[in-house]
Amino acid sequence: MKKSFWKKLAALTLALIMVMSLAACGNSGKQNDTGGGIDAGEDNPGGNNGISEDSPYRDKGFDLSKRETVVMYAIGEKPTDMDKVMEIVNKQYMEPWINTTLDVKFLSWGEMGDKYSLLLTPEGDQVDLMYTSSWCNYSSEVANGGFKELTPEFLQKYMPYSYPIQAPISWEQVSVAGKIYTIPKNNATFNTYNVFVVRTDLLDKYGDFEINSWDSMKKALITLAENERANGIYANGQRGTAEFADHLWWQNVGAEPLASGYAFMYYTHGSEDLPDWDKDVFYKFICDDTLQLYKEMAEMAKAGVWSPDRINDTTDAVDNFKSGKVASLIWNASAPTAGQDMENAGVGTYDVFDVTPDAKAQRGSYADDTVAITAKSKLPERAALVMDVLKGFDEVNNLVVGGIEGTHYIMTEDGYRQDGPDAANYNWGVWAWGITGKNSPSSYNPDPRQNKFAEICEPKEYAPLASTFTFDKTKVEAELAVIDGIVGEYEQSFNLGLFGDDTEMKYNEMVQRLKDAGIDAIMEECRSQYEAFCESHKK
Amino acid sequence: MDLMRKNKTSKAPRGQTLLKNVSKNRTLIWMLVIPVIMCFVFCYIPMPGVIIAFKKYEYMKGIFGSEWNGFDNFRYLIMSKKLWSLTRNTLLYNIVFIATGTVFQVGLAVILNEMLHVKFKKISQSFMFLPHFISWVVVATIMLNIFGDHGVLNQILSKLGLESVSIYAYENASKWPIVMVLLKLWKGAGYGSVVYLAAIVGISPEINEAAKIDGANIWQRIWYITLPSLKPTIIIMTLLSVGGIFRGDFGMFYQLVKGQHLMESSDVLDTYIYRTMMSTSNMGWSAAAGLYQSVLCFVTINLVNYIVKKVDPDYALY
Repeated sequence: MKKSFWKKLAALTLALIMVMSLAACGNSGKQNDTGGGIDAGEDNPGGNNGISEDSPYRDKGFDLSKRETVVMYAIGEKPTDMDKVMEIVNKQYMEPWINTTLDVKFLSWGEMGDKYSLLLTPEGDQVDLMYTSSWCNYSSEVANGGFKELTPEFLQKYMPYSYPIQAPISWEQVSVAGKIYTIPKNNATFNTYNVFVVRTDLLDKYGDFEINSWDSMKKALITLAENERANGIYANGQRGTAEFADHLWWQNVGAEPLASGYAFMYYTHGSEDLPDWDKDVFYKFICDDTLQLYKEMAEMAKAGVWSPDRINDTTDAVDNFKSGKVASLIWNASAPTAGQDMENAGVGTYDVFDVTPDAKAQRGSYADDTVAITAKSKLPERAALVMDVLKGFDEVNNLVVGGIEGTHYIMTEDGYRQDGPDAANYNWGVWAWGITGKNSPSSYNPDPRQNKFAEICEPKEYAPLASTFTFDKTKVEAELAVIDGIVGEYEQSFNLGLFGDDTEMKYNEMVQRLKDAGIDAIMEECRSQYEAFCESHKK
Repeated sequence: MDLMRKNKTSKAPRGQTLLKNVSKNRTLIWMLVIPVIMCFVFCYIPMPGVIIAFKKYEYMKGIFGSEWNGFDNFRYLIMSKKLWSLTRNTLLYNIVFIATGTVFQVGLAVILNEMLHVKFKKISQSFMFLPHFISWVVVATIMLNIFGDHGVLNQILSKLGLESVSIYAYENASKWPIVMVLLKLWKGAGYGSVVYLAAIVGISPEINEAAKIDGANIWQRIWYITLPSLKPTIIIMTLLSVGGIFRGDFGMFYQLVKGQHLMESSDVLDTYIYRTMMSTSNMGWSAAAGLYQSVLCFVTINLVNYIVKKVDPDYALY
């Protein structure tokens, strides 16, 4: 009797545990309804309730009578004056125009890896809009069903002001298997073109350097290394994940990425035409030019151009440049700004050099910065309207991207922008990269070195047709992850020339491992998708 | 014995004895409540989630609504052709960590116990404990500032006119296993000795005093009294460590060895999984990797426990 009592009790407890576990881990499995959304029916008499007389959304057929809060997540740190700016955004635009409060939350860089996916699970907090990009989980979260599919009809209906002015090419660049899951920015910059910024106060000590090619840059770097290393200054700092190679070398060689976010590349031959797969397309890590690059890097590493411990050193290369610990920086439009900061700090003087004068300059992909509506959002239509307000009106866009005019930025008479007195509290483009509008004003600086980047890029701008090709990794996801894992074991070390005399041996080893892990299957999949893309563009 | 048990049962019904025991040990039971709840919430409730390892997880379909995909999520682990070397690295590192850790922890506990000068004992203890509270990120920075290219060591060497050395160089990759073991010991041995110190304090002083009177010297007392008394604790602690033998200390391996050129000798399951997952956010894959490690740990601990049970049933965990 007693035994059976304990048995029963144990069984009951176990059952309870299982039920609670299922309840905790499960989810109703029910798709989100869009109950909180808006009915865009023409015959909605109460549709204009809750919005102001001068709202551009009046009589558009939206029912905006209910006040809603739309939550947007951005990546990075919250700017000091964020609340001040958001108060104006909400009080002057969001609330009177679409009866909505926009709440922007920040996911710090440190939290991004762990929390990003969790924010998209239906169990978590409210998240309606989410920053995503080719480098920030876009394709994998689409595969996980994290973002709402945006049909052209939906976009036209709920983004009445921004959809017509959005660059058509941008939709192609964010499409996955022909479907759109995110809203791209509407302002592509030359963010992939790299220039060389060097401390001229140091360089001038060792002669007259004319830097206009990879070799002349290398010569300058080695000269600096030979003379300044003893003073505790490295010639170059290697930024981020040591992707020095990634940009400047391929710019030098004349190759561009085939699909944003992947390592497929092609030789452009300076043309905008679609490349011939057999002759021009290659996998970035299996190519003679790649080996040549790694040998160049090994040579510079041997000469002590950068710290041999750079890979283990977590200090930021840009900060190191600004504080005078390294003498040069290779980067995009931000490099001259870093040079200015360094000069302002009284460390030294700088100049900007185009190492690849013959290379063409392509504007970055629109897929590099986008904002998606989450699949779990209960307010997808309202979220789309929020994006429309942010992107369809220059005054709102400038406010969100650059802060308050006169405080955070100042407009010049010829339509350029300059830093305002409180620029440090809300830098232009500090967080709203995915929202930048079409007419975002360019910056102007009286110092000619600060405008040199634009002067270098603009005359040689080109727009290769292949820039709209996107790769759908669904069929080869596992192979691709393994390949990325293998590349991850070597890439930084190669880029920092750490393998020294063993560079070629290690390169061959990597190539063999990539082949064993199925790189050919991935390339074959890419080829079939590319051929289908070419076919569709012939029509 | 049996007779006594029977008598006991006949005197008081079983339920009553249980109630009596509960009431007698109520303080201990209260103390147990929080750990039991914690264990239940964090270990048992999430357990059904393990089925994600066999599903193509989609957010909106949820864990139970997503489609099954068999062993597809394990494919990337097998395809990498590194599974064996990663498992071997993880296992070997942990065996060395457990073995050296136990020797040093017991050793330090014995030394601390034998120290007579109270102040010196306390200061030593503090210095031994301190590294445990330093995160691996900080340890990595300290290492870099001592052994890096511009580190203290090289500054001294250059002042002395000697050639500089760098443990971060590709040529020195083979030395990293030793560096890891030394650092792990430096960080963990002091703190790990607490359990053994507590066990030593629990040994009846009468035994030691009797041995002293019989003329046993300090080494003999350690060898014949302290160490044999620590045997059960050592076995239990080792068994508990074996439970995580296929899990690499991610913080240590990742922070200390950022350099991929050093990876051949330091890549463990956890770092590989992290690297692969950085390019995707496939929850099924992460769950598959976690399940693989858990199954290996489960098999190992059962095996070790079985062996201990065969040798001496008193020391087995269950």
